[in-house]
Amino acid sequence: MSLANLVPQHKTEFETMATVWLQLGASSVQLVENGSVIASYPVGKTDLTPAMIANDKVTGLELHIHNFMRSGWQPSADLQIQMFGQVLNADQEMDALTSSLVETQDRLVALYDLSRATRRAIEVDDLLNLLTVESSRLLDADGAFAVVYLPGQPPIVRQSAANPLPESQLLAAAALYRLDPNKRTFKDSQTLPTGLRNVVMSYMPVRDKVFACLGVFNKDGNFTAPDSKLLKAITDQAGANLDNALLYQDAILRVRQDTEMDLARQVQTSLMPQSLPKLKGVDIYGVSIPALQVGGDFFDVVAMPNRPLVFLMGDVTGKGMPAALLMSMTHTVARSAIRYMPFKAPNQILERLNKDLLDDYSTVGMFTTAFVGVLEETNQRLLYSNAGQSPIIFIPQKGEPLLLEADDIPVGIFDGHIYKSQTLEISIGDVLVAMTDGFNETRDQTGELFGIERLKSELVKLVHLSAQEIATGLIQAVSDYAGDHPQDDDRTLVVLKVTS
Amino acid sequence: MEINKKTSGSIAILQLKGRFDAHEIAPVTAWLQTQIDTGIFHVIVNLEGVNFIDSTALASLVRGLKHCREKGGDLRLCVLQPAVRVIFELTRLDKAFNILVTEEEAAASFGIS
Repeated sequence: MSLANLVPQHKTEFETMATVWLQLGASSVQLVENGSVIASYPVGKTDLTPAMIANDKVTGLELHIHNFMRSGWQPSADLQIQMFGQVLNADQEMDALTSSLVETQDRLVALYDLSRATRRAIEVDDLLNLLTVESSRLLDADGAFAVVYLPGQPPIVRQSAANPLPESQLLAAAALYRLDPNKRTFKDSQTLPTGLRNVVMSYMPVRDKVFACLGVFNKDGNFTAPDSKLLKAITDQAGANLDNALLYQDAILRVRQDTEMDLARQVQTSLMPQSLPKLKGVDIYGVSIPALQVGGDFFDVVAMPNRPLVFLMGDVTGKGMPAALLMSMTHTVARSAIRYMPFKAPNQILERLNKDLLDDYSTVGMFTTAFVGVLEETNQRLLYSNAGQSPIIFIPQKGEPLLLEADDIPVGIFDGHIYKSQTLEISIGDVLVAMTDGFNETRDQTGELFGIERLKSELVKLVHLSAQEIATGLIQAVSDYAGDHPQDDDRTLVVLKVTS
Repeated sequence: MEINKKTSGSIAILQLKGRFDAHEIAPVTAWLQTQIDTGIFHVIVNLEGVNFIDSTALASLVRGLKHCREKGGDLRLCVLQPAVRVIFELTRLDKAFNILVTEEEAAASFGIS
């Protein structure tokens, strides 16, 4: 850096020095730096005659003395220019120190402001925006970015830049840093992704399994060690704030999911029959136990004067709110089909469901399995139609339990599908249990399924009880089998027992 | 779940391995949609490596099946493990899909390549 701009402050010293040489006979004296005259005395006077030259090796300054005829001048001239050089040099160092102190002070104030602001930012987005905007400004660069890798989720990328870069480039830069977190500053244009001239990155210390870093890119010149240290100070502080923001985000998400699940559960339970008909010659009971993550199970029992008893149950694919909503539609359509259509055959109910709901099921890419039973008024024959519903187990009083396999594909798959009806001769003491797969697919601690054979043998033990007791007993058996293993799927069943 | 994608003539083939459930359907659904979008309606899903399938995964296959058939093609399945075959039988979806024993048979069954 040139010393020329410091000369005016030391004009008097230079002129005093020059005056002595003029009094001793010199015509003019000049101060020269890198071949350029930066001061002369008398002011403005230039001599073209060869000069006697003394120089200062530290600063490179030269003192040119023109037309001086006496000998023995050199030691004195050398001493003068060396002292003058030292004074200018000391001045320059002082200026540099002062401006660096001012800059550090500015940065400390900015860092303090930033740390106050980050403490107030509780949303992840707000925090990352604040960090990128401020770190880019503090480090006097073109832009900054933040990348947060959360397990099992796509990375969060935020940037603040006059000319934003593609996310892929920023992720590539973060990946480079992640490989070698000890190297914070990158300036090799060959190793950096396109669009990045130089970048300094620093990770934010957050909880396990999360990697987050802040990067500042494209600074004229290059990032210096103080820049890197400043960024590290920012990220050390921001880590704790980011951790809080992530926890807050998780909590919000959980509340949202819990609310959705509660709503789904309410939809589901509100649609199930709240009371079951008491009829002569038949004992019927149904119940649905939603899992933590609600599925789309449903059941209904409709008894009307002078009409056969109709019951249906089913399982809409999927879980959560979508399944609960489709289940409620299916339930409504089925109920009106049972109540207001003049038919007795169960397959007609399924065909009606398929016709009315195919478009809705197709739109969302779902379907439902369903079982419909129609008990004739004599209580001697059960007509049923099974669209992919399993397991349906019939336990005759005399004989082995029988799995009533489905005859048809589920509802909501093909337009105009013709469903079949089957007839089952029944007599007093016989029991039919229609279940959703939440029963047989229950797993124990080792992951083994409860399976259909266990269901059959449990039912044989329970068959002498009432419909409600059979249901309760079976639910208990399955629940005991699962132990601490959480219930993965809804468990819904309808038990029908022929009585005297 | 591991996913392997390949083509054989004008037939697109997806080979799946592992647990095929609600958490794994996104890439399968996206792949099926890409086939439809690019005019490929003859699709085979090889379930040889699949040891478990849930109802959401079944629904994703049914959705692919419908889309292919709407365009005059088909989605056929092959190499079902016993545990998976049982699910198809219990839900009677074995009647909705053409299910072949080997991938070669499935490819040949289209009669186009």
